[in-house]
Amino acid sequence: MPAAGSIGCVTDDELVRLAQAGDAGAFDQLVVRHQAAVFRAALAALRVPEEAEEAAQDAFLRAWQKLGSFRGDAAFRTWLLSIAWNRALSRRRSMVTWFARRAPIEAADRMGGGGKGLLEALHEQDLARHVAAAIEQLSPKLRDALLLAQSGEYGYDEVAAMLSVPVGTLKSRVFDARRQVKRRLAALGYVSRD
Amino acid sequence: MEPHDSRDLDGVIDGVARALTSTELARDLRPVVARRIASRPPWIAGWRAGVMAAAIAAAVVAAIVLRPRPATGPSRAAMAEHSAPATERSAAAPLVATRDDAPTPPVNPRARAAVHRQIGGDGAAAQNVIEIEPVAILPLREDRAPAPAQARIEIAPIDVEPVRIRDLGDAAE
Repeated sequence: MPAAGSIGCVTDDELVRLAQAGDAGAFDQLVVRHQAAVFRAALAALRVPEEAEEAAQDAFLRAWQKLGSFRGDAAFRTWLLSIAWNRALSRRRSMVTWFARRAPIEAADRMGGGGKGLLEALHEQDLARHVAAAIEQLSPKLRDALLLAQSGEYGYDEVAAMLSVPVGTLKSRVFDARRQVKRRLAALGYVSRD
Repeated sequence: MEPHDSRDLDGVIDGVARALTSTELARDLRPVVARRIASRPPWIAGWRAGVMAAAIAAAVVAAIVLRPRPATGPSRAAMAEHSAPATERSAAAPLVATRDDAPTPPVNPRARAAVHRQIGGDGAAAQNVIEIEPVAILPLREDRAPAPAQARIEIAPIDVEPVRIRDLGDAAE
């Protein structure tokens, strides 16, 4: 086990090798490094923080169990995110969880204009609500691609690996998602100038 | 409604999409994950646990199915109790079967087979088996009366005289 002070210099690959040898402390460090990314991926699929946290725990447990089969063909983080995404999707298939989602409106409310005038802030908040509703109405394929790609947490290659699609397909889905959201906003009167 | 620059709309869409996944993790997952790992050894992966559970369930079912069924007839002790007076009685005086005896209930053939298997297969148990002597069967009292002598039928010879038809006259027609 590496000393606590130098843990930041240890690469994921080294920690994985230690964890594969049975070092639970090394796996702890991997959890610390990647828990935020794993949680966000689960949240993109589930939209309920409590459910996303459960899915993230499941993902780490699964990763620990399957660590022996990890051969390093991909980066550990990519491999872990794929596990997390699959765990989140299997949770999402539970319809009770799916209908219980409530995050979009809360998230839209949080977005509404910081540092702007009251009217402008209300207008922005109103628009954000409509955008959130339009994203909600997308097909799961397009919605997942848009949320993961725009989360700011992952690169396109990581998202493509999570969704098991080529990067080109992912970009196409993100483009289609934007276009459909804009079309729905146009129906509500939010027209673009060009 | 104010028209929006399409670039603004793109920005809003990106912002909302980011906000939808921007909730921070409420707590450190490390202790929870460590506890769950400790409570579940890694070699018990999901499918292995399932296979083990299925094997245990199959073994329990097989044990229940193959267990010898308890005999529905009288137990061995009850049979011994029931057979003891019979042996005494047979030693004192022969038992005569009468029609007034209560009808015996039908014996379940499966139960009878099970009892037979226990006696034949277990040597120690065979020593405890009480032998029942064969019951004497005597003829009923009325049967003891001397049988009537066999009836004889004696046929006396018939004398036949030759008769001329001519002599019979009208009686012959």
